[in-house]
Amino acid sequence: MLDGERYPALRWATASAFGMTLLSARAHADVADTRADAHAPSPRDPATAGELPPWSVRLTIGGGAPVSTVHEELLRQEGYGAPRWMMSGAVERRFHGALGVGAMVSYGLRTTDPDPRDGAGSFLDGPVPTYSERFVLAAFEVPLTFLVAHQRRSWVEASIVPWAGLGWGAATLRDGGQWRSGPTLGATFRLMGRSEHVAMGVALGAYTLPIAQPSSVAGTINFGMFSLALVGGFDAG
Amino acid sequence: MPASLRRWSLLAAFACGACFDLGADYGTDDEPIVRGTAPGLLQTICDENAYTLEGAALRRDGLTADTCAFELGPGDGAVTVRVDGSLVATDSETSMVVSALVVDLYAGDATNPRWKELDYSEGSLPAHTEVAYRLESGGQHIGVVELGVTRTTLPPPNDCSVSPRGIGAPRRVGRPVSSVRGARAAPLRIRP
Repeated sequence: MLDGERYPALRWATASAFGMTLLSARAHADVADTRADAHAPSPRDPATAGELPPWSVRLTIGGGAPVSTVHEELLRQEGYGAPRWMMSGAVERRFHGALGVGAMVSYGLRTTDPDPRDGAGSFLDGPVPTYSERFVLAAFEVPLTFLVAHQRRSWVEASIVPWAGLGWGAATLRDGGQWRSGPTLGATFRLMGRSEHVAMGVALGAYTLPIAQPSSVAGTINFGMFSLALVGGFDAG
Repeated sequence: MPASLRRWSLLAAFACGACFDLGADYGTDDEPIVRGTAPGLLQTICDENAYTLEGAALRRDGLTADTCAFELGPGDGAVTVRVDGSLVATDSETSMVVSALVVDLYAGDATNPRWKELDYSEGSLPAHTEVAYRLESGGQHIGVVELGVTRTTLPPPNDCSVSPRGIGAPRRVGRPVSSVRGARAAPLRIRP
């Protein structure tokens, strides 16, 4: 799915994301260990996500491999191949223990130039069109959040966030793409090191955003992907 | 060193240097140069209205809403596209392949994307301003998403090298010209 050979930028993003998570978790663990040695856990420390501040803001930036479709295969046959990139913002509120609701908006893009095909080393004279696409989506989400490790004021938080909504996307080879809409459905798994009010970690996700192209012989364009992202945010309330 | 000997030495060095320079534009080891058309050749044909539809054939959108493609079938349909002659011209050192990127269409869904070779030629052919290719559905329901031309050029004979075929002997690759000449005039049927 996440093909590091085809998408070297993804390989870099993967390494960076895991590195940041390890650093974050290590920092939280170090602080927690020091404090644990000095103090016994206070009975007032939250032990579940439901005892943490109920409002959360989550910001995500990452990329991923497009889902496999005929349209994607046609692009590959033409010499185009690149990861999609996406940034998201979400506001969530836990209202019953680990369970919450939220709203999310995302913006994504992909731009790629073709490689010569069929063993060719270069292109013949003439314009070389760049393929580019843009998409936005808005969705409602139902996050389930758990504290999987806890020492005083540091936690490791795991969240599963299914979501559904509506998306709009446009793809172009000549600066003339048409925006069309389609349903979107996805889920994200977040693993974050956090304090009471600040969190940072990584998110693995997958979603589909198929947008029919009624007059095209190339099939539906699916703006979905399997993604890896950095995620951070704060909690309040 | 006598002046005459020095002069001849310089001349020999210059000549040998020229031999080494011959390969500079063609990479090492006399590698052939392979170059292909960029995506968008079919769009150029559409922009220039250089196509004719027959039977069950429609112009449709291609990879994006701002590019073109052709739907052939269901049933018998054909499109004849006219390509700039200089793009498909060949000479004694150049071979050329024309291919089409096609998909099968079943109930409106595209499947099985693939390149189909339509024409191959090499050797000196009479020059034309345009060359027409006729693509037929052959009773199937297919989409033509792109055309592509790949040209392979051999480096010129190196007068300084000696090969088993002799000094500077011309080289040929692939099928002889006579076996493919008719392909340009005859219908090119695309089968799944």
